[in-house]
Amino acid sequence: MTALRTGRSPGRRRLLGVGATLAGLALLAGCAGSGEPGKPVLTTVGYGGAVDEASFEAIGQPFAEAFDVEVRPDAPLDYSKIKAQVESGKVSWDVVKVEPYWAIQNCGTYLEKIDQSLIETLGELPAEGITECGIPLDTFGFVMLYDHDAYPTAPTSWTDFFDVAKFPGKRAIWNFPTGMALEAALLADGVPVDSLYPLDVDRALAKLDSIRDDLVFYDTGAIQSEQIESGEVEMSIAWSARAVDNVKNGAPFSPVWKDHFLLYDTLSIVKGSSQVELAHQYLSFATSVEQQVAFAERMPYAPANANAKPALDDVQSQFDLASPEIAPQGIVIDQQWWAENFDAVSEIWTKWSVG
Amino acid sequence: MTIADRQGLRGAFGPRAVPVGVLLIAPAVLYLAVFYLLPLLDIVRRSLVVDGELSADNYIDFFTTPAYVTILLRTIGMAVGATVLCVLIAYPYAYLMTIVSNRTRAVLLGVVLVPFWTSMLARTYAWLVLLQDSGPIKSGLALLGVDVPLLRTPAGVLIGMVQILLPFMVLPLYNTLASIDRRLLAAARVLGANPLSAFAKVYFPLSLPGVLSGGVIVYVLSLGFYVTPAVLGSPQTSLISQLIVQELSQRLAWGSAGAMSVILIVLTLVFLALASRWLNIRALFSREVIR
Repeated sequence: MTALRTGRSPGRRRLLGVGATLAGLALLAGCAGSGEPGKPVLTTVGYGGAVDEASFEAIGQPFAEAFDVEVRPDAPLDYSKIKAQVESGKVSWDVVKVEPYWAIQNCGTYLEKIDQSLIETLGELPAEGITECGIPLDTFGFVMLYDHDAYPTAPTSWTDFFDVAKFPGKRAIWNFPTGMALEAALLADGVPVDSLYPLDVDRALAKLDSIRDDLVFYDTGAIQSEQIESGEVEMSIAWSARAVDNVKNGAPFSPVWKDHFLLYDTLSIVKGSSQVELAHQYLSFATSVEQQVAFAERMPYAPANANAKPALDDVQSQFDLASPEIAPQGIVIDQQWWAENFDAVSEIWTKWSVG
Repeated sequence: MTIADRQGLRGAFGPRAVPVGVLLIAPAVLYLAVFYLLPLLDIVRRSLVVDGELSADNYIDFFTTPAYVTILLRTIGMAVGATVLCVLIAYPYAYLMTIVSNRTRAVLLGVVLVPFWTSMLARTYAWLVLLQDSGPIKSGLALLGVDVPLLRTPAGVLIGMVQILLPFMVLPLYNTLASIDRRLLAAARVLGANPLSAFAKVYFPLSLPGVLSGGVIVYVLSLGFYVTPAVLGSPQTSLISQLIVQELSQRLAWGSAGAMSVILIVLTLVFLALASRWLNIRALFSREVIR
């Protein structure tokens, strides 16, 4: 039979050889990277990408030098991996960057309680961001972003986001219950800011259904950026620091700084970590003024430490959550409510979004 | 290996020695048992235990939730769609491969294999660029006056899936078609058949084993597709593998995720069992049987 003669050709074999060599090298590299003997290793985990690189440059590397330890970054963060590590008793992650509701929800079960007396920066951090198992690292913003070439008059509120007659075009939302689509829908439907929580989920979904045909979902930050930069969408409930990159890459988008949503990215320690003490030192170090400035200049999420004053470029300033014009417009997400209701709302969200 | 050979080998290791064949497959079996079977059994166990007690709640929840059943049916529908499209595209292609010169055949085979060796992730993102509203496909269609949404629709997901799965259809199909003796067609013509009925009554039935084996591979792979629908689709096109990931990572509902996985595995096995009524499943893995 003549079948698949090419499959056995020397070309294929050479290709396999190259593959095997590469695999071997990767293995060797893996061994080489497994740490200098004797030095304690602290594994830090984030969502990956540019944010993690910035965080390693601004915090991880200087920490390793200052404390003579090895800091090993890992990504992406996956809550199920934390659960698996804790349940199996083989904890390889030490410091994790989590959403604040998750730090409340899983405090004591999957996360260590933090000894606040060991956090030297505590007094400089926002009290509402500090929880039993979490220390705030930076401010993360969800902001309405719109294509300023598409609309002669700029949208100004969440009401406009839901007004497809006045502002036609696709709207991107995160396919995740805490992606702020529910909150935005309720504000657009006339719920006052101070009675937003507890969320009326049914009412929010009904409002979202009213523009269902114009909704586009994103699963990851990368896809969010893709939608904005390729022009697939005209509006997005976007992550503010991502938006800086989108604008720098030439996307004709502008933010609406009215009722944007804020949360504190939270650093936590995985339950059963072998480096609990070192992890506390890392939390202190990461929230100190110098590291906060270094991080915010690389990745423009506003510093959690009020004394940190990063020097921002023009586009970064346009998205500076801490600026006096922008900061008062924001709404801080009720993380306690989300911690108590995430599981139930997540189930409702999934059933709604796939229908 | 004949029975005599086997007895001879066994004799060499003494009457109580383990047969050589068993020793040879032992590492593979051990590997699969430790790294595949045990975790799989753990998934089954978790799906059946709710709050420390044996319970079918995870399964009952799944089948009584309309959204989940919709996703399951959609997964099956997309798999059937991908399989049918793959057959329709791969059949003429594989047929062409059997009648061209060796050099052209090598080129045709290369066209199938080069994407096959390219990362699925890279190909899926390439489709994202091609299918988007400002992409070349939409612009091309716009020139013809056609405006259909592609990205984030079932059609877009199917296009990506079919391109990725085509090699799994073309290769077994070509194997079968190449083994069909073309003189049978000539004989049919001599006996009075027109080209169409010669194809329909002689060639096509002989090619069916290839269609079926390629179809089974494509269908089974489609059932577990994750990356392509996640990147090219929307929640409204999500397949069961995406639902499993959501249950696993967002809600940490491992019991529920386990139940969904078991349902998917059982469905796949049931399908394979049904398929084996018409097709020797072993034929998928050995060439001699496809004749």
